[in-house]
Amino acid sequence: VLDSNSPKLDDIFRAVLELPAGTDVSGTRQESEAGWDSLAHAVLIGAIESEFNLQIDAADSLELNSYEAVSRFLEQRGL
Amino acid sequence: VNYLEARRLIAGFAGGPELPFLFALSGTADPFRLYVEAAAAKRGLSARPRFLPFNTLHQHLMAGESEGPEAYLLLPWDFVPETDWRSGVPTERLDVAEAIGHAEQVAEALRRRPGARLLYLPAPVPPITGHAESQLALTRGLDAIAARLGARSVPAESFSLGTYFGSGCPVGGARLGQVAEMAIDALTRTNPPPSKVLVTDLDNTLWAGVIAEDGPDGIRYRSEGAGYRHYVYQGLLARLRREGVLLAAVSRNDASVILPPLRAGQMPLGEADFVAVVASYHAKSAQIRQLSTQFNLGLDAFVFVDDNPVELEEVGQTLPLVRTLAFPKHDEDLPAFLDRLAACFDRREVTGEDRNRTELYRRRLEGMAPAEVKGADLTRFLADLQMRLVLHDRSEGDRTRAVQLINKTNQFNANGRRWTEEEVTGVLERGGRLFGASLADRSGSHGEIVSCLVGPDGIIEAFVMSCRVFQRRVEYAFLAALAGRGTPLVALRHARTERNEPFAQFVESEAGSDQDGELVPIDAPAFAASHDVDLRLFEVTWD
Repeated sequence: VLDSNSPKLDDIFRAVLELPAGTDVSGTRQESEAGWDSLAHAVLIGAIESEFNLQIDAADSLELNSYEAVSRFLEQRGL
Repeated sequence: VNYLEARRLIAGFAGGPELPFLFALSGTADPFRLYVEAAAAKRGLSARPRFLPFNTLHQHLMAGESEGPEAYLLLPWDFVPETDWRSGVPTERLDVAEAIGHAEQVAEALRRRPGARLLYLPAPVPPITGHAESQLALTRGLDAIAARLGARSVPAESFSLGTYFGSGCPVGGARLGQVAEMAIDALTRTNPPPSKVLVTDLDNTLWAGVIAEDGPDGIRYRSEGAGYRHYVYQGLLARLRREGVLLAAVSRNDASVILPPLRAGQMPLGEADFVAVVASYHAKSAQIRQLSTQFNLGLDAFVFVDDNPVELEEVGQTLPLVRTLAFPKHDEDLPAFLDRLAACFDRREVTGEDRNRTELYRRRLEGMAPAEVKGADLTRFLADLQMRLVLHDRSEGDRTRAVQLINKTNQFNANGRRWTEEEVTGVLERGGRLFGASLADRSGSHGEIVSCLVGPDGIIEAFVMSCRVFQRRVEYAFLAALAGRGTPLVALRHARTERNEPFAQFVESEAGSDQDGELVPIDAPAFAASHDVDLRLFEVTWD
């Protein structure tokens, strides 16, 4: 089960959203993160698919609008 | 490469000549940016990709001349717009002949861009023709058009409908790296002439299994089970040989071990099909260079196939002109691998001279001894493998695998002595220790691959390592970890056997000479200090 502080997921968020190393991303939400536009969202979904080797449906993709939502989604997939 | 690896690759790239190009596809291309940059960086190039605005590929094609290098990732709907999933299913049935006619117009526009490098992703299309037969005619017609254009075929599973619906990018995140790699490869490769020599590894490539460990009866090459992939591979090699391709085998083994299956007449390929069978524990790049000299053929005429990424990297780094191909670890990757391999030797006509070439070159090679040259420095590559070494103290509890390993390992084996469970128990009861180690890296686990029995007097009585992990500096890191932890190590009981040349090389690298039949003294603190650099290639833990 994915730890809520999964280092890999943290790295993905920091890399895609171009946040400084060590930034706490666990509370990140799309609505409050300026760099999280539609383009960054596409890159984020692609990065998650790449790192966790899975495919994400369009409906799920829309729901993945916070670190917490992504973390929960991966946990539900047993990752 | 996956996303974070691609980031690391770019972060560590010092820069190189610029590669400006248009990466054209009708969907969202931005998720590709990182991956094309990483694929170019691997080739020492700084990618400067440009993308088209969403859904403007058709207008771009019809607009006129290209401006500089272009790579196109084409999908069925770039030829027949009605097949685009994002547009839904048309209410009217599609006329296949009309659709193919339209597709030919698009193909014509692509032909007007002779420098463009084309990739075709045969994604599934919605049922728009009314019945299965015409649907098949449509998809096959598009495949044929793409083939006539010379487009490289991207594996169909690269398409992700979820991603396409979600972001407009037709390729799923897990496949972005692979498709980007194909695009950069297409852009940077200058159509070389067909290759002439195929150098193949043996273990887990020509056959399934490791012959030095599994024996001639344990390897698999028949048309069943684990042997199937290798049977098909051998079949292709046999055909290539008949068409004039020179086959050579290069293996980290002894000739006496690898020749029996090649002479047994049970496999599609036999010794006579090879122009050279080189058994050597020295660098494979050195053997290939020597073959190149002996044949008087340039290194760009060589293709090297191996299942081991370390061997591929060593050859690729030392001989960049040699094309290297990884033998697939899974059946589903075999078709793409065979396509790439066959493409290296693509020729339209076969002459009588081609058919006799193997015999001609065999005569030229008679008496060639393996080259004894060190390979490339793989430190950086090994660091990128993210190797994790877990050390086990097997002095108590289950030690079945550790003892098995001692008794089945021939090559990296200190002295070849076989041990019974009772004998090992006796050593441990007198205060000795039994250690093991397991290795994993970014591609998965290699299992328990080291076993080391240390007597109560600090003499290493047995030390073995699986040949599956040769060249990764595991043996040095393992001993350095033991020494660094304060394990009293005084000496190593070494004796030459018929097959332990790799271990003799290890002793020679440390002691300066082979020291057959002697106790090789060990200065544990000095060993730990001098091999700290090897230790740092691994994340080392004790379980």
